Amino acid sequence: MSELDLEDPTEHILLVEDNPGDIRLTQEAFEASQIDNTLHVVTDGVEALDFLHQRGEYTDAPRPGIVLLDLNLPRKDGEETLDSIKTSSPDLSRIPVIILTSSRAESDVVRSYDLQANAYLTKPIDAEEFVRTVERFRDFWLEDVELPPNEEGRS
Amino acid sequence: MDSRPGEAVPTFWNGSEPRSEARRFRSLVDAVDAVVYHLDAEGYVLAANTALSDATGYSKEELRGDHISRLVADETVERIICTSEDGSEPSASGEVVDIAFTTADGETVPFEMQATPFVIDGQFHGTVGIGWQRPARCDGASTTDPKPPTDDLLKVVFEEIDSGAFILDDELRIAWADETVCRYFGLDRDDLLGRDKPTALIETVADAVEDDAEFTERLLELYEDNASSARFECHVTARQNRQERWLEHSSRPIDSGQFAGGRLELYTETTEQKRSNDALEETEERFQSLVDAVDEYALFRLDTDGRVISWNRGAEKIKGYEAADILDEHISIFYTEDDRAAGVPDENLARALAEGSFETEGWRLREDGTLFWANVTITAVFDGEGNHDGFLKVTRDMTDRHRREVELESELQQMLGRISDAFIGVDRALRFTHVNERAEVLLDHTEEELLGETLWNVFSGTELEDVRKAFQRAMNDQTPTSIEFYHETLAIWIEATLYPSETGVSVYFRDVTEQRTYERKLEESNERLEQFAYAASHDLQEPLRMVSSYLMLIESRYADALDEDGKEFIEYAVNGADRMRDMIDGLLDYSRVETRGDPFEPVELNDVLGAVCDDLCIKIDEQEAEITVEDLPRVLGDAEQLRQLLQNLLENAIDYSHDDPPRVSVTAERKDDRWVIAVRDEGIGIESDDIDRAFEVFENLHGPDVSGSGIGLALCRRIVERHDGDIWIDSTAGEGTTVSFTLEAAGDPDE
Repeated sequence: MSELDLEDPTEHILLVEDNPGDIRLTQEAFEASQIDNTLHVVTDGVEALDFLHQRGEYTDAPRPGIVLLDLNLPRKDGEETLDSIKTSSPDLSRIPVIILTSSRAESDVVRSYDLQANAYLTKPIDAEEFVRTVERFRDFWLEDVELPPNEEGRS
Repeated sequence: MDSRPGEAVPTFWNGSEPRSEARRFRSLVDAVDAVVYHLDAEGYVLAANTALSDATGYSKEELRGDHISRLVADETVERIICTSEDGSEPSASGEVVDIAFTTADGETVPFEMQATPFVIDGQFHGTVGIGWQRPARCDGASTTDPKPPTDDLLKVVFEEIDSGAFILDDELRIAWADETVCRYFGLDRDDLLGRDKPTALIETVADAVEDDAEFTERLLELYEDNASSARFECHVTARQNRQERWLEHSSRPIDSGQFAGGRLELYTETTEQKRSNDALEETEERFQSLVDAVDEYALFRLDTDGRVISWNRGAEKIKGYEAADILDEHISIFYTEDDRAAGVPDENLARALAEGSFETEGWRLREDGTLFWANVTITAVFDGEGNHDGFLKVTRDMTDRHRREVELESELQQMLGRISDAFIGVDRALRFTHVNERAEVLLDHTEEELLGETLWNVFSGTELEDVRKAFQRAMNDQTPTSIEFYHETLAIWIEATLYPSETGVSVYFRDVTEQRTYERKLEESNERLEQFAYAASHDLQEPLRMVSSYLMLIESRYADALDEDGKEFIEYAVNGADRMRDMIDGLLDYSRVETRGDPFEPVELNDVLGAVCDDLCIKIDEQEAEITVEDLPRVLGDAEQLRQLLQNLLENAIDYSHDDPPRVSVTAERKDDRWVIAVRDEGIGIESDDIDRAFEVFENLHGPDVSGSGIGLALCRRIVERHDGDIWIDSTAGEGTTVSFTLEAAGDPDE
């Protein structure tokens, strides 16, 4: 069960990504940026929602302070998942969801923001560049930004 | 006067004959103007008439009995007394002689006397003298007076011909001057006769001549040398008593005859010839200034080789050259390069020479390099002997007319096309008034079915709303309108042109379904291609990312574990991945030019170039590139795409330099309603064989060592094509490359 931790809402970060290569890259980038927050990984939209709702095999899952969501997912794609998160109960919908995807398509960007994504990041091809992006992500979202406190309990 | 004593001479005059006859005859003799007297054989006056008495101032009584020598000078007596009955003495041979009577007052009166022997019944009775008074001379009379020509025929000849003549005697006195010469010089004949010619010349004759000093000099010289003169001209001025004339003087000494030792001077009138010569000169001058004044036609002469030897205002206006700059140039300078290469100028000259005259039309070059459409006539010119002497060229600027002809032709084509169009006429209420055959076919109704029906009764449907509006607009504005629409019922695409008039509308239309479908298919095809290109490049990115990122991770994390070879291998792999990334990026951009393009608006190229240089500033600094920019214009276009265009070209220019710091220039030149922009570098250039391939996608012309995605120029071309422009390359391997492209000017009133 998650513990009430009022000091660091971002202790847990959820990564929704199906590509193992990308998963590994993200992990490497986090390490390189010295982010020691716990990175949880699910590989499709259904699992992501289960995790967030703390149901199914994820009844013991901690509530993440930030969600990194890829758009290109099997079973339930990113947009649907995003929409689902943002239209559920307040304690879920207020979790910042950052789209992290390889697509630069303008339509995807627009659609994501329409569905209330909090930010949209394009995965750079350059690994070093990706690390720098993650560093900036850390600086902004994990250090500067004030995030809503994490409440315990079911949604 | 005393009469001789004792001598009673029986005379005719004393009245021994029957009185009445004698009295009548006496009265007759007294009545005549002439002086009549009878001298005896010794010369004593036996009788004299009233006229003599009046002339001399002596009464008849006084005269009778006196010797005639009392009245005349001694030397002349001989001449007027006949001494023999046959008049054989030369002294009184019946000739008219000039004498002078001394009057009772001591004055002298000049007379012309004729002495004839008086013979009655074979008996000699002395002399009868008859004479007339001569008009007085102004200067002193000379004792021996010059004699006029006696030959009547000669006199007549002189009087009849147009020449004026002076006959001078051996002492250069004017023996005779004919009527004509007096008229010419406006002189009185009486004044002239007997005068010393040189003096007369100086005092009166020369006054009549314009160059009197020269005239006088010449004649005096002639008199002195007594030479034959060549003919020379004198210009007689107009005065009250004479007309302006041109005379030709000729003179020669007289060697024989009555006036041996004298001179004959002739003045022949040449006024007519002179006038016609002058007129000819004047005509030529006027003609020349007429030619010159013509400024609508170029009129000029060429020599036999075809070089320009004259020029007029029209030539200056039409061709732009000033006379000084064009004289001596060959006419081929007026022809286009193509014409010159084909030998057209010399061909035209040859034809003109062969046919006499040759007319043609074609493009010609002005001095400033612009072209005009010329109508040209070349005529060969020959001299009096039929030798070729050059050419005359007449050129007219027919550019306007030519342009209109071309327009008319295309209009004609359009009209002809229209004949095969379907045609309907409707009145103001949009009722059918005319339907042609083709219309019947397209509309699937016969004319009878349609006439009188309104357009909308036959063809209804809300989709025809636009059509209805078009008809309204056309009739309101009274201007031709074109529309294109799809007719559901007929299932065809129609392109129609409405020509409104006061009474209704004429409509020409045609079935353009085929064209439309074709165009539509083409558009769809384009779209699908672009979608494909987008999808392909998008989907390719992911695996590329894997390759690239992990290679880099290996490189960074396992650098120590890798030997030199290992490091090199990884570098090649990373390079490959990088290039692939560039290609995919380029492909994505390329595929999105049409679908992602913004509508055109005025763009300041200066600003765009500024932004590009900013983006490239690192590269520019690194390579120490020198970018020279002219003031760039305002053009119509998509600012973002123009930025991509300039960035690509500038990057190429910088990258493809030698080892020297790159030197790049960007220039702009106006051509009609377009701007030609050129990006020039002094780099490695492109082989002429390769230039065509340069614009192909992924054609990399410089080998793998030189960076570049290979898509830059293809993208540039796509962007320029979207802007309705042209793009081309001029390049010399080893010297540099210039990429030029055209964009539409933004219609700034200042430009």
